[in-house]
Amino acid sequence: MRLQALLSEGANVVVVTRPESSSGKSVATGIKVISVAFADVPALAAAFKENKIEVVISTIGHTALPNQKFLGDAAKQAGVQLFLPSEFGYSTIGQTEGELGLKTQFGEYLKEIGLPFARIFVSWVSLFYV
Amino acid sequence: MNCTEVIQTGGFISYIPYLTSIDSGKIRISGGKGDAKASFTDPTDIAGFTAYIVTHLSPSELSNKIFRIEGERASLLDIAGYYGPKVPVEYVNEFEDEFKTFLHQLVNSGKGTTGYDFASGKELTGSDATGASNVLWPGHHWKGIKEVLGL
Repeated sequence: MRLQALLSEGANVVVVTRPESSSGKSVATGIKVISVAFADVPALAAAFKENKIEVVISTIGHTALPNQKFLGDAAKQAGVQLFLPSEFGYSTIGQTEGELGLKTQFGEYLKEIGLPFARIFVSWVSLFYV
Repeated sequence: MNCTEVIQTGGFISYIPYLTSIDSGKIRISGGKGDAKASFTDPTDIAGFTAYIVTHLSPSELSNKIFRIEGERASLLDIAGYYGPKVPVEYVNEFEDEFKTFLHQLVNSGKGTTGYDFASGKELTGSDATGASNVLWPGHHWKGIKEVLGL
């Protein structure tokens, strides 16, 4: 996800990365980067609260999809108003198996916990940039 | 509006070149003729759309909504056409990479559009149709495959 797009719309952006990740280092200067273990829901929730986060955009990779629940729980606890789960691929409604099934299950989970969501389907990405 | 974004590192790669196995010097297709059309969208458009809607739409327009966007609808043979006659098409039974085989089956069975509904097995219509959410970003030029790949 390109942060510049959010910044140019006037959003205040905070990047959350895992402690073992190096991706936070490549973020442009001036953007706040927080390093939190994703399984540490209270720490994540505290970070969301402290930064008065209204919208969470999850671009979690497919291998980590099972962990997305932690982000949802933390966002709910912190009073986040909108959660954009890591979709950004095929239409996943009605999918039950594999990675697409995990995305749909998570969509159902957000409904269950009463956290408003927006799911964006884009199908194939023409090109991923470095 | 305060936003947070979660970044998970992954292999950042050129995706259509991966899908078509272009490194082999051929366009390799599995799971069908390659004539079924799927949706393709540029990542800058995905990021731009996401940023636009979360900053311009009202909470009620965003909450519990599904957005189906699309840069271009094309088949694998359309994409082969973009690369031109120097890159021949080769049909294969499967790929060593199982995920690629799965993706080819999905695209070649017409399930690769953003408006395809797995529950009913049909292409949705109206506000759920493929690319129906593009209009929510007024005046935006959605990039096509040739433009993005420089073909």
